[in-house]
Amino acid sequence: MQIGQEFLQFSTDVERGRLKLFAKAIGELNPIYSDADMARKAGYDDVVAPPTFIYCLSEDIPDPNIAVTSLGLDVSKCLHAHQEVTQFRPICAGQTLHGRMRLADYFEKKGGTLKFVVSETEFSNAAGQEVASLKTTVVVQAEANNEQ
Amino acid sequence: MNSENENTDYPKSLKLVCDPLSRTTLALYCGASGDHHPLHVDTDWVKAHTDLPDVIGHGMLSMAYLGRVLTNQFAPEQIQSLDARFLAPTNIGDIITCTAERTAAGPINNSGNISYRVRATTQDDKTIADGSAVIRPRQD
Repeated sequence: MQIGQEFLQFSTDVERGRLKLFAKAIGELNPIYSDADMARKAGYDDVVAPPTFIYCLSEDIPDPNIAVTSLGLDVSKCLHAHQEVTQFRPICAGQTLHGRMRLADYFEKKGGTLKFVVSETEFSNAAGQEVASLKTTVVVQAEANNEQ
Repeated sequence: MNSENENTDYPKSLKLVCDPLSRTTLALYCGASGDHHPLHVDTDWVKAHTDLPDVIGHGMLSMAYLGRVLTNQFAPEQIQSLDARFLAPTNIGDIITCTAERTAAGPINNSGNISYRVRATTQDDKTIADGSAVIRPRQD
């Protein structure tokens, strides 16, 4: 796989029940993040997704580690190193989002024993408008004696 | 330029102290996030497969707490971006404190956007995640 190459497209639904559970799990008490009526009164279409929720949707694919496995790296040695979330418009329950994932970068440190895989996911809504993007960096720790 | 310290739309610093990290919270986050890795919820698995004594928290849960510092103060459409480096794992019982400090730079270019430096620490002052956030001006 080449840097810049798009490796996956997928569609995912933003579900109200899941947003409610997510708000409970992270302790988010503002009712616009769990109650549809309160969200509508505040001017939103439905329950709003907290800023990091979009990352969960990027994991709703058959193989969330696809970028790492596509490069032939060991998923069991993989750690989440850095995460960036950018929002262009509010994400609300009831939306269907379209995601496109690409390999943004790959680099090594410490003589190749730390391999960094950076993937970017762009989400757009049914109208084709850009909604959010993610930049996910994972580091794979390799056995030093297995390296060339 | 207005006095930055008096700007109540963009407070100089924001803080959130979370409840002690519990197994219940990790189980709820496991279900809600879709990250079902046993490392975060299954002590038996952790003991059998790792050198760790117990489950550890999801990095993205710490980042969600950083997000709450922002949602406590700003409307959803104001939160343009949030990023975090994951520096250390969290353990059961940890009391995570999240802070956001407005950067001295003030508005970014001509956009009116304001940036914050964000950080999540545990009760022993260990930084578990740090990064930045960009906030858009309020649209009234």
